[in-house]
Amino acid sequence: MIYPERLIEDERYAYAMGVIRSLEQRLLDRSRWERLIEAETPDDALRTLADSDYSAYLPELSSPHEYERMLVRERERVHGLLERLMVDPEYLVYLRTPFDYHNLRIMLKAKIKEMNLSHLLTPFGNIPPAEMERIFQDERYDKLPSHLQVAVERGVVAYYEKYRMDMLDHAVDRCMFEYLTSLEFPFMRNYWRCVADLVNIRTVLRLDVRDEREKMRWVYMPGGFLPEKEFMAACDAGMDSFLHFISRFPYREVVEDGYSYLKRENSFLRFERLMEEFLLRYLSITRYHYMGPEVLVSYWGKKEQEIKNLRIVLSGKINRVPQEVIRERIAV
Amino acid sequence: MVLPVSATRMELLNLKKRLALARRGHKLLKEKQDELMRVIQELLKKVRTLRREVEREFTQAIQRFLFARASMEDFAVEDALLFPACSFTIDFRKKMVMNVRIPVFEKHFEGELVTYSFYWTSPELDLALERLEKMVERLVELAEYEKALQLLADEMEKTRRRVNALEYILIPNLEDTVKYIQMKLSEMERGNITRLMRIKDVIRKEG
Repeated sequence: MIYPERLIEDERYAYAMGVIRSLEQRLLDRSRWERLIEAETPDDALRTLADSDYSAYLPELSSPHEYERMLVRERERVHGLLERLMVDPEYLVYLRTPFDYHNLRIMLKAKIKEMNLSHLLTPFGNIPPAEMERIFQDERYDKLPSHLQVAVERGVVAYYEKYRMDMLDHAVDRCMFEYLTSLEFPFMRNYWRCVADLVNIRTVLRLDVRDEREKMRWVYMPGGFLPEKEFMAACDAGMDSFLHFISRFPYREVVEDGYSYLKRENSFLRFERLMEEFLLRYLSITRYHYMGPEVLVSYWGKKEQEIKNLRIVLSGKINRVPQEVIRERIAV
Repeated sequence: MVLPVSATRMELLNLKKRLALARRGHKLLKEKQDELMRVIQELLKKVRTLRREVEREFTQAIQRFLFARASMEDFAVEDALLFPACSFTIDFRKKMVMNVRIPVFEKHFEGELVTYSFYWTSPELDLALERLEKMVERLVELAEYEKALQLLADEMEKTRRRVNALEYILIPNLEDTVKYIQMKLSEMERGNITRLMRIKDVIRKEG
């Protein structure tokens, strides 16, 4: 357990619990991942998925290069399933909110640069891409939820301060974290607080590699568990102070191991794996939970991770990446 | 082969001058050829090493990019790289090496390389871009060396042809012609002497 959490006991979720518990058995386990990693060819890797959730999409793929289609279909299935099972629809809204922020960023960029970027919109948000395009075309931002309206305003202001797109990105991301780390749903709120902390730590390491740690105050994501002032002070004081600061928190293992690997191999593979495993451990606190929406959220998180892992393995197999490199990156 | 020239003393003098010039030219061109060969050998070594390094770096950069792509959503990759803030320019000038104008590229990176969301992107993307940046610098260096090598090789080929033309055609021809004119002139000299002796005899008999 990372941070103590009070989970919601809600008997309305009894049926959903049963469905999710049985579906959890079908998530790809460690031995399956091992078989996938050890597959000789991409075709062999796909064959390994024969009796999994993905088997239904395999006949539709004419070549392993089309794996992304399979992953999109599976994500659609999971979203559809959660839509049916989630008794409180607002929790589903929370799950989809990050994609709304992504679409919002894209639409803002399209508006500023007067370009058509509709192909970069994702259908997994709460607001369908067509609706989002219409809102931006008519400039009827009042049709957006209030937290997204704030993001539009801050994103535009941030861009015009320095005429830089990354400033818009950071401003909108900050709004997203402000919103997600203050949700009414404690399990998700704390999940996003952990994500904010880990993203901030990862950003410090990313900036440290390029010797640009002073930029951290521009890109800091609010809402995490780590106290902002102490975090920034430790970051300014150098990497030793920063590592010492982090060692007081549950992220110690992720950072120590990930940072030493980064220094040794000049690669973030292990850090990313450890970061994802940390979040998976957080989601797994629902394992012994009796019933409640958290179990559905946990399933969603695990499924998202599974899709990401599968993308890494299949892309690695297609491009003949060594097995040990793939293994280093897969969070299970 | 004897050149089609009239066998006169004036021509002989001209041919001797041309022969001396051709020998001097041949010597200079031979020296140029040797020096070109040395420069090319050095450049070839550099190009081989650099090419190997560029290929290795390119593979590593691509592998990193691959991992970054695999860790990110498709739309996030394109979004991240849609509006680059970094520009790359190449200034071009020429320098003379062995009378060959070879190009010199000056590379300039301006702006920041990593200008995208840190939440939606993988840190492997930063490393991939950093590697690609370094690799592009080396790639331009490689292009500079390879172009220089190509131009020097062309010059080498031209010089070799000139040296061979002088060594195997012009100089032997001139030598043959000089020899021919000298023989012809000696023959004419002998003819004149005989004619004079004959005239002298005739005059002596009549007198």
